Amino acid sequence: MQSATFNLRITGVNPTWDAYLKHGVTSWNGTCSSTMCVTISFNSSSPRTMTAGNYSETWWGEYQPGGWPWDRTFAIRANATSLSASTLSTMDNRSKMTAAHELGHALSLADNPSTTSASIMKYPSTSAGVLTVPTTFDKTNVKNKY
Amino acid sequence: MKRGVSRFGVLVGLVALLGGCAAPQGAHEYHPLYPEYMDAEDLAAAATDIVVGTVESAEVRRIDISAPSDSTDPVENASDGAGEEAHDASYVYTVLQLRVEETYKGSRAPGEVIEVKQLGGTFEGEEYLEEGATALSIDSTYALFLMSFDNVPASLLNASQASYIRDANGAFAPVDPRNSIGPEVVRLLS
Repeated sequence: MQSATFNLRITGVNPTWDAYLKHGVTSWNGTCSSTMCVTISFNSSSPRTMTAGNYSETWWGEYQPGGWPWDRTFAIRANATSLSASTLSTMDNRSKMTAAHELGHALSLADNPSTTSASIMKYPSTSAGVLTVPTTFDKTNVKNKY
Repeated sequence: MKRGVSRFGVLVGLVALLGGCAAPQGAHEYHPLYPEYMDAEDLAAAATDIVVGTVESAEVRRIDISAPSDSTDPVENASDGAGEEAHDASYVYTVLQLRVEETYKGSRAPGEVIEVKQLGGTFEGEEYLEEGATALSIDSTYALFLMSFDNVPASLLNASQASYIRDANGAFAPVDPRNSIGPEVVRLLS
């Protein structure tokens, strides 16, 4: 399983999107149990990447794992085109949510957990609004995995 | 000496273990994040095309979905001013050829064959999967809620709420049983 301590690089985006993607990192960092703390740092040569662009797709973001299970690499993309087109919440919140959600995958969380609790890993819905940071439920899940 | 043998044994075991998984295991995975729609009205409003049609054939392709924006708004154009070349964004898709029977929204004409892409498929001997998605089948008839693009085949609005299969009696059912608005959409399609 991917360690809760890893580095990544943000690439190919303007300062506005750099800030959105960094929001995802800061939203998880400092999630600590008695035995570990989530520590995501930046390294310009990291094989783990986050970027954003304009893509002909309906997804807001996409996570692709790679590498070995114990030294997971990944590529995360946010889709400025579909995020701009949606009217759900604000663009600012949608973009922050996407960054935090995709990094949740890097911390071993799955999509759409079956729970009534609020979760950054649930698909955003027009009936529920958009979270921008991981919830207590999400952080507890991460703590339980490491 | 005994200790050395023990270490050797551990080393052999580790090599054997690694030999069993000399490459990352299994299929390449895609984990897309889609918005979900509150009701049928929301879903229909977001679609550029709503069609009923039969899948006649399918092929797997690697498609670059990059669609550079002309916008000068730094939010809408994520790479504007980034100072780096746009990254290749190629994904493996199964592209379905769908013959349209009916059009509820959009300009697709009955009889027209349109292309719809779904993430995943077997390409150059490697398997690619979209987490949580159900692949549409050849010879089946579906109602699809689509987003069309200029440069690549259309996409389903999301993996769970945008596809409905029609049975021999003409009744529709959600392809994904987890579809929270499925019954409401089926009522409208009927």
